[in-house]
Amino acid sequence: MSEQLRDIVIVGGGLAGWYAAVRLAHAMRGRRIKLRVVHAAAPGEEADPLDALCASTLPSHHVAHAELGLDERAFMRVCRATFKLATEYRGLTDPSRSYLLPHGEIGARIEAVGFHQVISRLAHAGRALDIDEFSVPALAARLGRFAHPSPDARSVLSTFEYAYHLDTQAYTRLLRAFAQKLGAVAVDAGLAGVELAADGQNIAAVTLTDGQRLEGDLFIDCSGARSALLGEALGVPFDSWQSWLPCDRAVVMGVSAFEPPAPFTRISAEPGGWSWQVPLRDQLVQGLVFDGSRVDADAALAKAAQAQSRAVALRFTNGRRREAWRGNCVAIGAAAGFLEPLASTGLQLINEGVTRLLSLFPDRGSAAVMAVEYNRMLAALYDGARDFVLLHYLLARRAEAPWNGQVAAALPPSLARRVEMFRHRGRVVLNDDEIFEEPDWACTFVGQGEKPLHHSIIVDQASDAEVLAQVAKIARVMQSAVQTLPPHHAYLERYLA
Amino acid sequence: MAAASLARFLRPDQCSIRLVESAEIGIVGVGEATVPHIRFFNQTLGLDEADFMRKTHATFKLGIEFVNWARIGDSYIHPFGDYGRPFRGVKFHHVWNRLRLAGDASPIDDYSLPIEAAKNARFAPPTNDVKSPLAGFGYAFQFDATLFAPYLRAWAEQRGVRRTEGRVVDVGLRGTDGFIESLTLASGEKIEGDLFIDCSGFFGLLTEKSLHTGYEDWTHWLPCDRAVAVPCESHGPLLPYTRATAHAAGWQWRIPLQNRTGNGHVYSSRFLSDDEAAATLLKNLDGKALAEPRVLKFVTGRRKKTWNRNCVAVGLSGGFVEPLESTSIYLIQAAITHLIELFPDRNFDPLNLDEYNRVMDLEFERVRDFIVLHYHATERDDAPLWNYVRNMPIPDSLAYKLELFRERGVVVNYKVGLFFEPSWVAVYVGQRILPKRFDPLLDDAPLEDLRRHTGALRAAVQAAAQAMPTQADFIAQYV
Repeated sequence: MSEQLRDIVIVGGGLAGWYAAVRLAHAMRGRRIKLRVVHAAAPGEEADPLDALCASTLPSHHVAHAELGLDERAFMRVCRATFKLATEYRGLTDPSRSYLLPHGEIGARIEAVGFHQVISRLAHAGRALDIDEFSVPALAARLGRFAHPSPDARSVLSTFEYAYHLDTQAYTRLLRAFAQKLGAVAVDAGLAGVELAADGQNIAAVTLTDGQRLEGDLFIDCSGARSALLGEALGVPFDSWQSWLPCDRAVVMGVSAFEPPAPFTRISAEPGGWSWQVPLRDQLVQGLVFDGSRVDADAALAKAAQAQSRAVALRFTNGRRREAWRGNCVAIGAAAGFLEPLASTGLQLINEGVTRLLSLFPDRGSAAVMAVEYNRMLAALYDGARDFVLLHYLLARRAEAPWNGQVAAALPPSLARRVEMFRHRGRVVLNDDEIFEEPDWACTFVGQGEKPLHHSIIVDQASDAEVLAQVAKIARVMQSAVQTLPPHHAYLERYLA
Repeated sequence: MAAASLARFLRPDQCSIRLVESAEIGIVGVGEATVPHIRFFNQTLGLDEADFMRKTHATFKLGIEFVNWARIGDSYIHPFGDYGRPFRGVKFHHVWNRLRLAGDASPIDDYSLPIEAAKNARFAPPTNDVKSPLAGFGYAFQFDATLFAPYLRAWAEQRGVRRTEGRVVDVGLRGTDGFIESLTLASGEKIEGDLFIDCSGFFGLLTEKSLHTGYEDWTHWLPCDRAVAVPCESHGPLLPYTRATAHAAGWQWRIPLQNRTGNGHVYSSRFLSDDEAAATLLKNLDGKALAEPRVLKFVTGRRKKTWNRNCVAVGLSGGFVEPLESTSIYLIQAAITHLIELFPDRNFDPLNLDEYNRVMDLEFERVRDFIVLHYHATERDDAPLWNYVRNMPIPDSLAYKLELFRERGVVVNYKVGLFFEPSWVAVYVGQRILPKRFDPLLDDAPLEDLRRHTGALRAAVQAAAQAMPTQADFIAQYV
């Protein structure tokens, strides 16, 4: 038996499966490997219906695309994609309030302290400022403008990143074609069974609906929330987060767009859950995520049907598998864990899973050790993202659940500490592995109305008047820079023409 | 450092800062070599680099050379910078490791510009242009700590810090909660305060003698407990690196300054007498000794709470890890930076204290693990010290990191704390912890492609180093 794992079987031909296939095939170009992707669903069916919840992405995605050499224009055309500068959250604290979570820097850092400390300081001096006024992507999003970030590090227009809104099915097809070009083989059959090795800790083979039996060295479980290999066959338990995050249903539909696409995702609090709007180039994807015990799913579907669109109803449970990697099986995407897309983490968690698998790629002898490190990192990333999503509910201030700030279970200690430290002095506590960085946490806390009791002494050196003059200048520079940007749709049409 | 930083960040109308200093207690000058973070400290204060270097007789530092650590006769440099460049997205040290396992002999040092420059006594500052061969490294300083202190004193006093010469004879605690209320000096003067920063050294005058905070002893992992130090005359070219040479019962530092060389022998009193230690030190100097050797005693470890009640222990009073990786000044800097970030008000909310201690514990533990690695990862069996450290149980956190590297060259990364991936690679490889396996992503890459990649990098490093001036010339012109 060779030491190297050359026969890789990916189970699940959805977004996670084909994304993993592309990244693996690309990283292993020149390697003698066999890479097969089993569809795991009957032809015509979605391999993983939860993919529909990955339409809004986070910025690091185009880093992966650049490494793959995926042409942005071609990708965007095929996926009907638009640029995303921010997420707008509406009505989480009260029905009339909204705030933006932009992809980029806020204001200017002062001695390594986040700009939210300056906002906090001025608030303590009685001058309430809107943090959105100090972010290029937030300002541009509000005005519906976009251009790629400037390569000139001195320009204020270099202080942001961007993500995409995309058609997940088209993206999956694109990834599939790309993976096949790179040598991945699609096996068009569903999963019928999983054979464990004698030790019960490894997978020997999968059997398919067409009678085929595929042996492999490494199995990548992209079967979606079902977790057919890692969960069902290997018995890795699922730790539910439902007592913190009760939403468990979603309805997704595409509707005609009446307005040019906005360069941001819109999320609105709704009775029993939330809705979101993801603008594609020619269509608006709308969704409703809700707690099935509070909202009648049939009624939600019926309402969606009135919008004359094909609506898909989904079920899920927030939570993650205790290990994402056991034996020779690594789960990626919903098979490893699922988090409602309130913070657009779907594709990002897939991306992290694949990137870290590649950096720890094992051979037969090192798999057990690599799995421990992989599980440590993925657990931290999932739990950090969970804290971030849960924070939105925790800080909500509306009368009705789930936006009344009541969380059924005791908070995860990690989140309790983050909230305490922010409330006390605006400090963002970060762990070693995080998807969301300081500005993301700070904007969410501030956006949801948290006013730290104290601010950092570092921003306390100049007088109120001096600080006000400084921040006014920053706002002015940003305002006038944003005015030079073209409307998002005009930029998009020109860029993709 | 604490007084200057606080004066930098606290407005005089909000806070008054007093510093009590006794000339009877000298400055422990073992921390003369630094890590690149010192530059952020200097920049924060707005110190002019050339002026600072002139006044403290400083030299540039590109890394530390370790001699005789894994085996007698071994030598490697831990540089302040990256090795090579990735190949098809695979990190360079994996590429190097792949070729090593295929039998190639070129040491990883060949792919580090700071190492190549250091070996040739050359220096030029790095550039920000990532495409330039002069990018991807950093530098620190080697300076005279006894001159840095007065330099900072002048800076701090100009900004309102009031310095009082005197010896503390009594510490007054508040009856209700045991907070420190006041210090009484030998002169009879009584100094009251809200927050006390204990910079009294190992002794821990406030945190230990008064507050009995307690100390976590790490001597079972780091058995050295003494140092004997002596300056000597410079000899040969002005070197931009510190050297740490392992001896039978410890190790010797050599820190080149502009005008002289600092030396010291760190050792374990279990295995060596003070006289023997001094004799070994004096036998291994580059030039004539310029003073009588001074012996310092310490216990490696960490104060159980570096912030306790209204007292923050900064420097040796907060904990001590031997200066093998020049971390003493870094840990002072970290203690101050975190204090400023979490600066309390009179209520002393325990949230600040808990968060501070959490972060400082991480800082200390991550430095500790890195230092323990140098001792534990040895093949030496020529002396009792080495037999002890080679076989001792190590912290779980280090055992975990070691296993991942030994298995497949994976470095466990973290955000809080010192030492990033290239540092760990340097010391693992230098200590002969060589990965058993290579990164499977490279198994079928034609070795010739890898060799072309590494060959080009080696040549670029050589060329860039040769283009640098010598450090002596650079300093003569710069300072």
